[in-house]
Amino acid sequence: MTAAEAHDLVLRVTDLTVRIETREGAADALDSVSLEVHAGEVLALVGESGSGKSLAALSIIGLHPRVATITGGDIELHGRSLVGLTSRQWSSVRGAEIAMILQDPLTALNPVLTIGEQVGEGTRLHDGLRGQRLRNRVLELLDSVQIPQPAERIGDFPHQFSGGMRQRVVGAIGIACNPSLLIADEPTTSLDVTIEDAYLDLLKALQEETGVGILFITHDFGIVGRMADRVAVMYSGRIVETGPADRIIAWPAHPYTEALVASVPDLDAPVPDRLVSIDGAPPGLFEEKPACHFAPRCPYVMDRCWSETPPDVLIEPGHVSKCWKHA
Amino acid sequence: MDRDLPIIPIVVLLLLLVVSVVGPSLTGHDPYEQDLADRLSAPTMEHWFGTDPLGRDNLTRLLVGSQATLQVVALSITLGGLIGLVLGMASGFYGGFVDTIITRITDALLGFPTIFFGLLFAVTLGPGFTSVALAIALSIWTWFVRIVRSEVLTLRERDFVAQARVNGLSSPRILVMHILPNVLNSFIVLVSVNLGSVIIVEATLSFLGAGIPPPRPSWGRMVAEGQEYLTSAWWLSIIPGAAITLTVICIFLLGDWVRDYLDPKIRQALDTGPGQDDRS
Repeated sequence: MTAAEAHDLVLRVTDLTVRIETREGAADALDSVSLEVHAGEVLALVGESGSGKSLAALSIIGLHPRVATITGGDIELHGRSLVGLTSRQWSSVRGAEIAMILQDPLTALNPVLTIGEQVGEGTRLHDGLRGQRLRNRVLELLDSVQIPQPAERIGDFPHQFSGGMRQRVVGAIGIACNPSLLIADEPTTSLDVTIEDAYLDLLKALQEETGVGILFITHDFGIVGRMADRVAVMYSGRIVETGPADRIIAWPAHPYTEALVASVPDLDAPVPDRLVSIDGAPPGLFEEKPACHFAPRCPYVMDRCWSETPPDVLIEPGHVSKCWKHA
Repeated sequence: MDRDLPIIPIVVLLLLLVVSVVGPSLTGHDPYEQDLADRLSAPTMEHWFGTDPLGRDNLTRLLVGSQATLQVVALSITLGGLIGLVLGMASGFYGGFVDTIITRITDALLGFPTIFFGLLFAVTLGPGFTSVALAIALSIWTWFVRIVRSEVLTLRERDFVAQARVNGLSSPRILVMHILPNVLNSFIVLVSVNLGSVIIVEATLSFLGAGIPPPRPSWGRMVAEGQEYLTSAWWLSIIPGAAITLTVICIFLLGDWVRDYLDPKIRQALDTGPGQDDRS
């Protein structure tokens, strides 16, 4: 955090509330979510499926589904609010200032366009490069993601590239316009472990090279330990704990984080009889929830958890937990 | 590829193109010149395909007629195909209200025989080359809409469309830059497979008297005009009829081959030879 604090604040999300309305009901899928991403740091947004982490990412880039509306709070990029931008204004933000890497980098390339056309697409659109200058920029990008002999491969189609190379191409598309924020939405879930490892290395290297701030969405605490400077843990639409990654992994404060960290199998420890899991299931979106959404599954549950929403308690500088336990 | 290039259909079609362009000037006859003394002559050395009831040379008229037929067919399938392509893409990509309207209209029109609309439009628009082409175009675009739409429906859910959106591309730009190149293969196949049917539609319209107006010959009209002489002068109807059949069969065979050739799976298997996928 110390290194990150010295840098600029790239993204600030304050009390973001997103409401989903469908025929089955209406509920706040994001409830007062606050986040900060600084230049050159990786913030990991951790949570189970359905916790709202992907919705948070889509809201930040303005691509949340039509059933979802931002009903409160603000999203600021370098101090400029992104809430309520027109689609034309969004077009100049997406890809240029905020880039995003999708869940499956292997299917993110268009099979009938050449690698060069796809890598150059953003630069062409946002920076207006054409001809030889565009080509040079594409070659530079391919080179920076370690595609061998880029000049010979620039006219190839995606199926002529190996899986690992296609991922690196997607990485190149992400950084093509020197964005200040890169959102990676579980970019490794569809990859096998060895490829995942190489991909994380690449993302790290790109970040060091460009100083981009990364919002890394994942459900895997193993990846958090490797990649993240800071962590925000999400449960049922709320951020329940934020803090420096090493502190949270070593001393999780919130009962949910504690359970999450405990459920990561430790390869060095003797093999346990069974893997640790969290009892119960996360609440459905339209379910009636107690004041603290985690109360029904919490081993430390107290009476007030059911009726009073827990406050954000400062555990140590930069480390906040939303729980009555600390109060 | 397990299929070879269809040599015979290609040669026949090329030959047809060549003779329809240069042929009329080589026969030594004027397609409109009447010679009542030599009317309804059976095929001779002078008139290879005989003469019609006004004594005009049948071969020359067949060749001139092929020009009209090919031009109308080319114009109408381009026009009808483009209408179908644009509406199908809009319908599949935007969905919602746009999709409902286009799909309903298409479904309703597909319930009628193509020739019904061809006749309706041809009669309404009046006689003439362009109005016939327009009439055919307006009655065949529905053939393309449904297939293009279903293709786009699956394409728009693909990750590369999401990636394009994330890169800041607007919807029209995504349609043109990412969806269109993916639809183009199927579209070309659709065109080549339907080309034969369009020739039949044109011939039928001409046969029914709603085609290109006389005295300009067209294949369908020649079949129609020879009909009443079928027992006495068979060459009048049979020869242009055979020309239509031959052309349509050749186009179908070629279209079949194009479909196989452009099949992305087959082509991908061809491009990605063994070991090529992992060269790095």
